[in-house]
Amino acid sequence: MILHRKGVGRAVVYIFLILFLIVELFPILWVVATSFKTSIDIFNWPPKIWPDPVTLSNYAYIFNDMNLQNYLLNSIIVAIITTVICIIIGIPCAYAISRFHTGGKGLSSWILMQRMIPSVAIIIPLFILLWKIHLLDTWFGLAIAHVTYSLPFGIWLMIGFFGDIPIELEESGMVDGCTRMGAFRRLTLPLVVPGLVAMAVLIAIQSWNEFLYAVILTSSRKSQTLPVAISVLVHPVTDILYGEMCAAAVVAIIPVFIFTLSIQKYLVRGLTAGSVKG
Amino acid sequence: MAAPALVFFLVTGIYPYIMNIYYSLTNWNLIHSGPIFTGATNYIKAFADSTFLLSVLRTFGFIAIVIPLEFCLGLGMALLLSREDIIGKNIFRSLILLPMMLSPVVTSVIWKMMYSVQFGPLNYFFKVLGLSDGRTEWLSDPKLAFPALAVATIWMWFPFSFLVLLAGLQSIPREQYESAKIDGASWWNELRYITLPNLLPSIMVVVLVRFLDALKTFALVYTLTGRGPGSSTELIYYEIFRVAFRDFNIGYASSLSIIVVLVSILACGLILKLSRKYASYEY
Repeated sequence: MILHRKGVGRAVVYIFLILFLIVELFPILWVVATSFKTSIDIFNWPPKIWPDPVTLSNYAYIFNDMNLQNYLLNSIIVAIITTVICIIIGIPCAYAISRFHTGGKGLSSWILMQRMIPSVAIIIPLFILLWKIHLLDTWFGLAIAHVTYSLPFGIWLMIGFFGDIPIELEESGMVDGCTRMGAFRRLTLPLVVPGLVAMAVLIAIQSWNEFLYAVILTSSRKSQTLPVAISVLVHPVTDILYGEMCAAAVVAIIPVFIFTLSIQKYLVRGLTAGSVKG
Repeated sequence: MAAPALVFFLVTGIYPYIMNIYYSLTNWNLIHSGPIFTGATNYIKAFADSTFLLSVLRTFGFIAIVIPLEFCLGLGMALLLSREDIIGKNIFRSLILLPMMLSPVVTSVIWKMMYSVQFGPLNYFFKVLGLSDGRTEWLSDPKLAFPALAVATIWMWFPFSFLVLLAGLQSIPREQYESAKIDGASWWNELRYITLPNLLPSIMVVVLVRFLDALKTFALVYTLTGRGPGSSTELIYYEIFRVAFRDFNIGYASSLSIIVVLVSILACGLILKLSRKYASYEY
């Protein structure tokens, strides 16, 4: 707004934006390019930007020798369990808070606090608890840990979504003979579905990316997720396998990239949930 | 209807805090024995533990460096994108925020490559620009590892400031700018007397949320620098992780975590109080 009125040309803004994006995203492009390079190209000085020849050997290594698909599967399953739990117990809670003000202001601000409080406060007791009930190093145990921060996030986001739907809509439905559940299911739910999908995607991405709980609560290939597998590549006992490390990172980036672009419309609201009003 | 969620919160949102306080009053090494009640011994020990105190100071220094830089970068880009005549605004926005969608471990991979000594692009650019001999040891020089960690963090998290500030900018009533224009206000005065005061709530959000998130910096320390060289990049989360899950000193680590939570609550209170004072002065 400011710059516009001071007559800075639009072209200048575009050029600056594009230059900025090139600088900002260069590190990502570099990793993507490196994942297709032969080891001779990787160690070349001066550094070569484009892989020549293009090779898939790094990908072959991580899938054939490192068995990355195993960790990939763990990541996917944990993300799905986390998302499903959040949706099943989050929707009714958010709906109750939004429509009946369950628990008043106290409950909703307490939920927000759950999201803000440093996770270090619960990680040790959570570890001991999961250890005692034999859920350490399982998909479900890790998913529970992910739910502890995703559920408050999801509920907070959903309270906003339900708040957008006028209560009169449901009331008119009930006048026409719907039960409250029926009014919710037929009238409100379809309207909030796009928001819920965005929320589910964000929760899944958070779980997919999460590292602290993953490294503490898992210990074998039975349940270790992709970030844990990659961390072993970044911080190895012996030499770093650069090409293979980059290939594994690309595997972790691709779904995030696709899903981020697919929920563009809700991104701002989702990423700033609990910080700015809808 | 809220019952299942509330039950879950009781189990994960109250029980762990109580247990954490209890553990913090015990001497409990996971390898040797069960918890033995020792009262406040752990807390007394913590306040004489220079590794812990240093990591707390280092963490606050780290936060004091990354937040202002993230803020300036985010504000600059937000001002640029808040123009109404930019086509493809959503695409630009999504591309700018891409780093914050990545796993911190992926960020580590990315910056491990950038900082690489033998073939890293950063050393190449510095050499081409004549700023260094191209052999800089970014991650193993005790003086450089800490700023290197900060740069990776800023790269990953400035999009958050950008997003919140962009949302804040878009909610400023346009009339205010129009009347300022009539009064012939300069570019700087517009920023100083209209944009920033109106943005104050968003600025507070950025500072608070980023304060609490930067406190949690763990994966980058774990994978990018591994707390080293020496302990020059050991931040508080890594320190507690090390005590709890490398030395298995559960009791002591619990007391450290409680101190950190208390300090962070105090700091948040302070930030809020300062913001109110500043806000009332501003209007």
